[in-house]
Amino acid sequence: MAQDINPMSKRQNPSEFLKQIVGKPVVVKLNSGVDYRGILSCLDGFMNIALEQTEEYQNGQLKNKYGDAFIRGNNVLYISTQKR
Amino acid sequence: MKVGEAFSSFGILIMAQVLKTVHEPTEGLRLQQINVTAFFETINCGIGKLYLTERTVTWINADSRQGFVLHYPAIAVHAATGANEDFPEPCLFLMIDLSKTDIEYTPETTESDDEEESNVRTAAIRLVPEDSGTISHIYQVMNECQELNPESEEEMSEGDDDGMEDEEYHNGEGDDNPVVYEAPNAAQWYTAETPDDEIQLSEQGRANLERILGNLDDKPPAQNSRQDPDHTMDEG
Repeated sequence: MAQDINPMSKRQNPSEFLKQIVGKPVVVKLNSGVDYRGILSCLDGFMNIALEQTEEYQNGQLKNKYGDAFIRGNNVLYISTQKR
Repeated sequence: MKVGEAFSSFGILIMAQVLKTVHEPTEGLRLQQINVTAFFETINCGIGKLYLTERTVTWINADSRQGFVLHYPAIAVHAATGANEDFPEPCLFLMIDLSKTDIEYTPETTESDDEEESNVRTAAIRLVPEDSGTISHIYQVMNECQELNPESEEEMSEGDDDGMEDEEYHNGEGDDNPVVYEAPNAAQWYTAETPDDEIQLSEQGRANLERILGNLDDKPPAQNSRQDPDHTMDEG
């Protein structure tokens, strides 16, 4: 499971982690239970997130696809990297 | 999307609950777009005009003058989408948090209830402009407006507040990394103000207190002179 470039292979603070995952495929889980997978385009200090090539999953099932998506920060439960 | 669906009794019922008489917004207007069809979940609400202001996303049906007003905190996700199976036309997709709107709508839970199911009720709104080339621009303007509407402090503490006052202060690191801390719930701490008879210590608490008071006049105890039989903290 080891990756050459693993953002979590060394200790760092959250904002360093966030800088490292920009441009990478991520999973963003919302408070509502829906999750969005896509390439992390950018995010800001309020955890507003912009994704590209976004896919919407509910209960593990692909429901929708979007080009660009903007997720309002207060709805984010977590952001995780994903293997593509 | 069947044409007849918009006129089904279910659809009409939903529209009556969801849409209200709305007036054209005048302040902070950033964008207007005519000939935009709005879908609330699967219900076609007709063709209308879309207004983006710095505070709201407003859509008004051209004929009935009924529509909806969404404040940006209610828009959890907005996305620009191309064609897909369910909706063949490119559109602007909005996922809204119903609790932050004045829209009365109860989504049917079609999915089986899983343990993780949250209490956040969401609904999907799709805005389909006749001119699909405008979607990209509308999406951009929405981004800008969302950035103008960050969560207020009041909204941030929602859910954490169990009726007691929280202290919140901001780490003054500047705009790009705001961090909010909350002080512990004051009601659970015993202070100089707490009446003596309200203070109840657990067994461990009493043991700690004896140990602490017992050391008031002494130098810090050496390991082998510790005599407290109840003290279990540094075992293991």
